Amino acid sequence: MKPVIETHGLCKSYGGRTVVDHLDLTVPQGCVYGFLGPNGAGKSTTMKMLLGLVHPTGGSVELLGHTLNEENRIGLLRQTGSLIESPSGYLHLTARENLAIAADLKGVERRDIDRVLDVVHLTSAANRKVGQYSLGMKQRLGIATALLGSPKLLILDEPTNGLDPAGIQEMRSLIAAMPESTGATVLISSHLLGEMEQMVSQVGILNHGKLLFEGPLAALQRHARGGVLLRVLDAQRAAAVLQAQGIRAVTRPVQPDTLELPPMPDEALAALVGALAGSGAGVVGLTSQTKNLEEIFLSLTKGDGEVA
Amino acid sequence: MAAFRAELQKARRRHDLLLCLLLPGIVVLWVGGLSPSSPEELANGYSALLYSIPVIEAILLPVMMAVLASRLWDMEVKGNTAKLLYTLQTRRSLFAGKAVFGTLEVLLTAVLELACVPVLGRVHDYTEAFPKGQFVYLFVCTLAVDLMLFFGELLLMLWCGNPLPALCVGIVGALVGLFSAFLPPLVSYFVPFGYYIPLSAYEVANWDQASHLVTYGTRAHNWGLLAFTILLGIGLFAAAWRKVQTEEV
Repeated sequence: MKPVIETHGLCKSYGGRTVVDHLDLTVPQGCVYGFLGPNGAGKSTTMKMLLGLVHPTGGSVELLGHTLNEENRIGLLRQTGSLIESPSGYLHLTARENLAIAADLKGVERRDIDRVLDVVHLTSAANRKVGQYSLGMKQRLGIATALLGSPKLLILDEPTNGLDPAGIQEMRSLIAAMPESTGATVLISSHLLGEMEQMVSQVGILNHGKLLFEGPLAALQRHARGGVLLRVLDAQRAAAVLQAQGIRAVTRPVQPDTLELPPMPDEALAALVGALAGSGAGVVGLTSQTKNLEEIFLSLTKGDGEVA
Repeated sequence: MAAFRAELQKARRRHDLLLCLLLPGIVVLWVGGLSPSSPEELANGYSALLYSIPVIEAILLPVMMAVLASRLWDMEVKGNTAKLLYTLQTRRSLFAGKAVFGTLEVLLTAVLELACVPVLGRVHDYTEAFPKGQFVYLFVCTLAVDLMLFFGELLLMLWCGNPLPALCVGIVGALVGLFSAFLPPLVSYFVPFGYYIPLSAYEVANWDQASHLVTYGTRAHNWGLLAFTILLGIGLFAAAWRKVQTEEV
């Protein structure tokens, strides 16, 4: 299946400072793609280049199977919804009037306004001036504007910014369900890694403008494999067995009966457990540890090393 | 067309029409308050009006144009809408919509303001024949300077992203423009804010100190300055378009 977004060697520099560095991004159709990176990694600049808001200094962008250029840009973007950085809205107009302007410019029937207001739960506040909205409500209006016309692609830059916990949860559910409910592909950026795990199926990790990792979330989670916690009856005897096998174990001061082992293949772990049992160390517990996304992200960004 | 319709939708609750009515209202109050009464003054009525209006314009219109131009873009700045709009319409159509809407506002202001001239003439029963040619010349000059200032202030607003510099320049420009009118004509050519006055076709021909009676005369139309004003306006329009075209958001 043709990817919905592809970039080839995409670059952007500002006065000699490279913000996006030869980025090759591939967003498959029908997924929620999490675009991760710390603040200043180049996520927003990349998204702006995908929308033609910022001119790349090198490389190209393919959107919905077409190379983006000035001639086809608006045509392609009419099939796209976006929310970049902070939400937009005329403060002196109501949400409904704001959406009417966007719908007319996008060539979308005005009856779609009620649907998108309902999706973001703004129907009851639709006739209030946007200037009276909270940041969370403005954010939801931004999402509603992006959803006008049921676009094939949604590009959302940190859409949960400014939302309260309930709003964040609501937004996550809405975005995660979007490929199934509307058929849209979603590219969503965030520096909050934990929230991505709950929404996305594909992940790209960006740092200093370079893509450190791209692939399914499951593949990233394989990198999450951590060490093993071993609880024994006789820690001294267990330590002797481990030392004999050349395995470095760490004892937890608060839990002297628990040893922290480095990651190892399943076969080696099974053999080790057998040896420990044979020595009379008394194995009573074995817990496999997994790194959370934050830890993986930190390990990837620390060295800037690419992870396959 | 869609871009212009969008500008009309955005104009809701912004009371732009009231602003366009404000200037004619001030002109009527200002000039109406100086209404002639003696037969000699009535015989000079239109000349007196066409002499006074450029002076009033030099005081009010630079500020008025700054207000209209800055309000037109300020709503995009305050609403943070540029990033959204540039994904919904081309930069060309956004700028064209703004330029047409702004030009119509300026045109409406000029039409309403100068419509006061024949209205006041009728109300006060001026005995002087209505000077059609001079009236049309004044209208063209007013519109040319208005649009030149409007696009200049719009450019300033685009550069600064804040209405305050445009408003300050409008206020200072009005004062400097008026002041320059009392300096040698060459000096006034360097102050576009006051071009209303050197473009005026009327001048004081005689002032009778004893009777305080002013007689107005006409001078040659300043086509050269009018052409320069139009060229400057086109240049500022092009610069504003270039700014919108190249600006990254």
